Amino acid sequence: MGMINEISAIIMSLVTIVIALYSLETKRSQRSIFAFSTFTVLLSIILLHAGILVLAITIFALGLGSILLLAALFTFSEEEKKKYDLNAVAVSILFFIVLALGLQVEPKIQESVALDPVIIPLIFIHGAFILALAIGLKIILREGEAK
Amino acid sequence: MNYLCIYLYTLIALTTVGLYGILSKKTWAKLIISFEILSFSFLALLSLLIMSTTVPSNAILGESIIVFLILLDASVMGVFVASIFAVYRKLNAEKPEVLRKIKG
Repeated sequence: MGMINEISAIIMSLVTIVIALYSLETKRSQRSIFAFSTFTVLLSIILLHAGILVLAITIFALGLGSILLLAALFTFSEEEKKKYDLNAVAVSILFFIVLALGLQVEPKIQESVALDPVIIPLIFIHGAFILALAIGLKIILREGEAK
Repeated sequence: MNYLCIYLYTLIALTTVGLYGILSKKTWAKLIISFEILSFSFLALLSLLIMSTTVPSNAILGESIIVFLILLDASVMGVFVASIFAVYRKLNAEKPEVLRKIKG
C-alpha cells in the first residue's frame, strides 16, 4: 500500500508541475485557462491525498472563482512575443534550491492537526467575493465597450 | 521518504513555478495565474509544514496563519485586479511594461 501511495504521489506531482508550467507558457488564452483549472483540480487531489480536506476544498473554490476573473482579464491581454527569460529561470532555480535545502522536515499524517472545519464559511465568503469581483469587472468592461 | 515528503518537494517546485511566472510574464492574465499558483502552493506548503509539527500549540498557530493568509490572498487579489483595471482605464496599458511611462 505504501508503494502505491508513493508511485501515485510521483505521477501526480509530475503532471501537476507540467500542467502549471504549460498554463504559463502556452500562448492561447483558452488553453491557459483550461490548464489553470486542471492545475487547481490536481492540486486539490494532492491535498486530499495528503489528508488536508478543508484546504483542498478551499483551493478548489478559490481556483474556480479565479477562472472567471481570468476570463475577464484575458479580454484585454495581448499575446506575448518573448518565450523564455533566463534571469527568471536562474532566480527560480536558486529559490528552489534554498527552499528545498531549508525545509528538511518530514510531514506525518496527524488527524489532530488537520485544518478546522470552522474555516468552511470563510471559504464560501471568499468565493462569493471573487465571484462579485469578476461580475463587477465584466459589467464595467461591457459599459466601457458600449461607450 | 514517505509520500508526504514527495508532495512537500512538489509544492516547493510549484512555488518556484509561480515565482518564475511573476518574474518573467508580461501580460496581466499570466501574472494573475502566476500569483494564484504561488499563493495556492504556498498555502499547501504551509499546511504540510504544520503536519510535521508535534506540538499542538504550533498547529493551532499554523491554522490561524493559514486563515489569515486566505484573507490576505483575497484582499491582495481584489486590490490587484482593481489596480489593473484602473491602470488600463487611465493609461490604456495592455501590458505591465506600459507602466514604465509613469516612472517619471
